[in-house]
Amino acid sequence: MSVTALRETLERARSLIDQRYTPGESKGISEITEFFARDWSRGLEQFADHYHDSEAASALGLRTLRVPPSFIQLVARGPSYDVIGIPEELVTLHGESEYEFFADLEVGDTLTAEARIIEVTEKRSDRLGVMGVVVTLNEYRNQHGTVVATHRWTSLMYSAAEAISRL
Amino acid sequence: MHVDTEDGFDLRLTGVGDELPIASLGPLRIEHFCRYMFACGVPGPERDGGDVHYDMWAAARAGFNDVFDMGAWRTALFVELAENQWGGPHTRVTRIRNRYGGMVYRDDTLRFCGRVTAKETAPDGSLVIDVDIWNDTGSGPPVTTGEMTIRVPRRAESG
Repeated sequence: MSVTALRETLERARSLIDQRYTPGESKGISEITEFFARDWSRGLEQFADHYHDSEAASALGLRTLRVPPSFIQLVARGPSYDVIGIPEELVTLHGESEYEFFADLEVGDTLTAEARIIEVTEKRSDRLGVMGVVVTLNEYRNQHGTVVATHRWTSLMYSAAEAISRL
Repeated sequence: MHVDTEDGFDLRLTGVGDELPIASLGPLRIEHFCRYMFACGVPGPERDGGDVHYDMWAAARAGFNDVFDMGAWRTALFVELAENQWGGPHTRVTRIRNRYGGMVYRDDTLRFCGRVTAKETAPDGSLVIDVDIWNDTGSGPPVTTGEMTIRVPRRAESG
């Protein structure tokens, strides 16, 4: 039954390939403030002065605090679960990531994202059974319309019941 | 994160085949996972199956023995490692790709490793360095494998 649910989910994902959509909010953050920049840096165990002290950043020639590039994770959800609809009996995992960063993020920037599903496949895992693989491409722009980053997020999904039966 | 950086290590002086200083983080606690997941507030962690990273019963329901780390966290930490400990404050990662092939559980120590695979000088004088990267937990096969491209500015601009 759960494998059926997986295949139905993958079929829904396939029907959405290349359709552009606005991804759901991640943390509901679009504007980079000093508070959010510092908080995210702490979350990444990053305590260097230029991430937390404007004067230290300025002394290095930076216009604002250094903002970790991964801040884009706060703007939009990487996987496309909200547009596909994932049944409760399925478990999702993050299988692979590919980021490209084209410009520094700065405090004061406002970021937006656009996403599309670009690939849907099925494979078999000895550990987890039949698995679905869904690749989503997110594109992030700043307030000037400049693409600052892209992120390809590969999601794995499988039946929890089948995985537990293999333990 | 502890980095085994030798005094005077300079990313610009590395050559193809050189291994970069290993960084390690751990033993990992739920606090490590939560500090990342809850940075800048919720919501977020309770969606997309995020509870498997801090709730051992949720992890068990998903077929795992204990709570485990997040792939995106490993990648974000690799970027910070490259831009700060391997490079300097003006070093930038322009591309990174990671495949998360293994689980990292509570109490594991996660190691961040890299080896230079290519190096060239860009027209603007900066160095463009390709690096194979991997995570391991000190024993067994890598739990992450990937590649990144790092741009290191000319010495005069690197601060």
